[in-house]
Amino acid sequence: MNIPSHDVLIIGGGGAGLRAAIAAVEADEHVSVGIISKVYPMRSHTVSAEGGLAAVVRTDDDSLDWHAFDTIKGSDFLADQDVVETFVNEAPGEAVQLEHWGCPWSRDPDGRLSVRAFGGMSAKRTLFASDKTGFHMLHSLFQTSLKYSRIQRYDEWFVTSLLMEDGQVSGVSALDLRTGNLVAIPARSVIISTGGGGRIFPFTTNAAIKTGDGMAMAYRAGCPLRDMEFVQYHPTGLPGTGILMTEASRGEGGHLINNKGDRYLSEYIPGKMELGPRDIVSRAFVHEQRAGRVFEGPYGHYVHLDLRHLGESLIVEKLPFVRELTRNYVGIDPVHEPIPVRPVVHYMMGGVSTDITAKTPIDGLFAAGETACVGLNGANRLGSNSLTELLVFGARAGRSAVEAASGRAAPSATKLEELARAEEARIHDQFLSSTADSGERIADIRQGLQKAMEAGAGIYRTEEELSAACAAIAQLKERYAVVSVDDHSRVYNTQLIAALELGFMLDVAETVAHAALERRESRGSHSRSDFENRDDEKFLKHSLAYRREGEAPRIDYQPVTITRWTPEERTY
Amino acid sequence: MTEPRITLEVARYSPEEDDEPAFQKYEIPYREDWVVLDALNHIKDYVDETLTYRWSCRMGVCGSCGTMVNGEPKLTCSTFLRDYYPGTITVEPLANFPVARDLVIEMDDFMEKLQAVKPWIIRDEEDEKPVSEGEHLQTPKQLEEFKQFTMCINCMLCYSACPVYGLEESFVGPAALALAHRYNLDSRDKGNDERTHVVASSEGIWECTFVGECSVVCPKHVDPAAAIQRTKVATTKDWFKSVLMPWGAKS
Amino acid sequence: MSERREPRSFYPTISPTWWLKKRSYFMFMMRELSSVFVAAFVLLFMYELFLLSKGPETFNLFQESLRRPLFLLFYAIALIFAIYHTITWFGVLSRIQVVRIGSWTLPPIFVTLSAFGAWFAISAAVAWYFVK
Repeated sequence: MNIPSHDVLIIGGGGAGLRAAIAAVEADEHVSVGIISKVYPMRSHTVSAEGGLAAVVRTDDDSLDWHAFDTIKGSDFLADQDVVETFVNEAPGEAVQLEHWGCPWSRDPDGRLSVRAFGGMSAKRTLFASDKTGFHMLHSLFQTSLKYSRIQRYDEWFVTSLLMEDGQVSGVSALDLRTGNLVAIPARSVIISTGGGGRIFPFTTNAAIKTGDGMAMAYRAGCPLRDMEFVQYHPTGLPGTGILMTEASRGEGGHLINNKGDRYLSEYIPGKMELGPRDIVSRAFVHEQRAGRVFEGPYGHYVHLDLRHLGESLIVEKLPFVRELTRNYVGIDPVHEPIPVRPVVHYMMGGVSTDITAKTPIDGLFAAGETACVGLNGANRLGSNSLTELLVFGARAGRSAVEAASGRAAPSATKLEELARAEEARIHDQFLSSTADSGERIADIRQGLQKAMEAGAGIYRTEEELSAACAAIAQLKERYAVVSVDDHSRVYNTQLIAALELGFMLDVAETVAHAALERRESRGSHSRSDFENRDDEKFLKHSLAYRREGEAPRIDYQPVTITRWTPEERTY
Repeated sequence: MTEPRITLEVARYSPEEDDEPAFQKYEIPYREDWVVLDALNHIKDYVDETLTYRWSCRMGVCGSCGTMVNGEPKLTCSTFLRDYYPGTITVEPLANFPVARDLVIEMDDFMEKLQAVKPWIIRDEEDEKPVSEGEHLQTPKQLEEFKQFTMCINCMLCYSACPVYGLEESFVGPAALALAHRYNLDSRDKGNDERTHVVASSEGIWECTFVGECSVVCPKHVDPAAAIQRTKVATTKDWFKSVLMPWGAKS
Repeated sequence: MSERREPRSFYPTISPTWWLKKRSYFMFMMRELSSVFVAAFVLLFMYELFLLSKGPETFNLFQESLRRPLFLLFYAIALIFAIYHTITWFGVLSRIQVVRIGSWTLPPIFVTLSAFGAWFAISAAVAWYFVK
């Protein structure tokens, strides 16, 4: 395969990556755009999103300011307000653009886009495509991207590192899964849209591929990871598998019930009940659990998500996928029985630090989507803002990358080849040579990591537990350094990929644990039992984690941009 | 009381060493709520790290894990061990595709065909509504027309079940044709004519003999067979109209 | 284990007896085969019409010639295939043709029931005419 030099190279073919690619080719009719994805783009995790996409499309009973304030308050005032204002402004246009591209949005009888209520939103502004919004969005974007012949795709190519020249990004090193060849792909600008890293935890809604690859790559290249301590637990995942039960089921009127048969949220957020923001609803579960008011099952404790009172026809019309999932995986029909649910890890607010144009501190490097921390979600993300984020900042990243590329010279192919050969040697020496072989299994280290994260960096955290997690991760990294891969095949070596992903996961986990340790306050989804209150004086700022070779990351801070909304007490 | 066990016979193929696939037996713990994917993951994590297969979402929406289970095309993430226990479960790569390694098949042909039917909204330049003017209106009824055909997760079980695709590789195939039909029925699309030379070709709908197995195996009830037959009816009607009333504008 | 070589994918082949491997494939082939018998019926019917035009004697002679056990056996088998053809055809009709009256879409079951209903009604009428 002849590897061209791309103007814009996008790592990750999910919602943000595809949107960026389309934006790039539309911004300039001469740019060459590449999308590298370790899976075929239709498999990207965007596909699993269910609930909806928030945008102020109904201006008669909604306003941009309300959407902005809901988001900022939802973020526990850690969001950068200029970013939020831009976001709410551009959201409606992106939602309509996706409709023009064929997305089968659910409709009102008069033909207009339907909107529904969602957690933390003060007005109905969440567009939806039944309860498979992410699926329909991803397929609409992917199918639309097929129109553009200038987008070159590298399907099932695994990026192992960013290639740098003089502190600037000049391309990537990528492994073609089909042949096992490691190749340098030159690019004038690179966009990282590889999603989050939920798989560092044992119970997650996330797919297998969410291993934090792009975050770790940027981190290793010297880019700071911002606000990593903020990990969102979705209140309603199935126990055991972690499969997502969309927030829309609560948006449509579903109730959360404890083992006493009570809608327990009346004790915590009587104003919003089941439509409270996710961090608060998840914490409520832990309180109920401590009080012994939850059910016990083979996969731990759970509560009930009751949809029975919604009636069969509503469930069939608005929540058919939820019904399908519960029938298949729990053997329950939500029309007749309540669904067992518990909080599971769902989303990372933190990620590759970018500014409002999706640019990172590293020249030539951009990021968008869950992988990035643009400053939109702060300490807690509101449901249905993420799908919008993919479009708004994916598009911005595409346009920014095109602009940046026009100002940069093409990278030196020979230099990149050298770097690729070095990368190939590094991977071979670490995993495929017989010298370092502890005989340990990758699965064991991975599970050790997941256990450590659940124990130390869960919904409620303490100094002791977080320190233990940091120490555990350091130990796991040592064990990882001597693990080897049995599979020496060049074709579809998924064990090698798993080993590389584990390395990424360990890096991401260390930033989460250390940033959480240093944030001695409770804010949004980061809850410290030993520092129960929000401390705006000391901590109204973003954390930045910088990699240090052989040491714990350096944690620094960056102020929050405040424009119009003064931080206040966050009650619902 | 010993822990219950189950046996899986999995097709292995090493492209650098083997001439053809051969079965390997694995005896593993049995759990009542495990799916075939859980079993494969257990094998890869604890028994044989070289076992190779595709998976991602584990909830039946990404389409990665299409595999033959006891000779039937299935998603391993949605196929429960308990439906086969205590018998041996045979796991093979999806039929009718070249095998790259173990359970991983080559999907290039499918991807090409998906693109060939132009699965995007096609409108005339003059018809282009600017985003600032808002959405195209589409009633729930209009949405209902094509909604079913939007549900395809591109898992390719239908291509595996289709004997025509097995015998005639040039057949465009169920999923691609159903996707073309989805766009043709979408009230916002005007691209019927542009798709017709691929869809209504001898390798398109006219290759289909309505075996119907594609619709039987489809995990999302898209009913690609219905999509193809309806396209045959629509195409034929259009042909008659163009022949009998050449002066009339095509719908 | 043979020597390592340039990796190549494995291309499976389909055996000519593919349609014997699964019940649904076999029934599909029977359905396709049934068209032959339907065609045979049509040809026979057309031939009989042609003979009828030649006069009652020619026609009756032909009818006599058919009263042979072998032909009756063929006829029975052909009839089974023809009925199977009709049933499978009516069974899929609703998936092929969506019927709309104004803005209302007819539920698929109505299409199926009307096809079968019309078949029985016409057959009953014809039978009644001959029994009378």
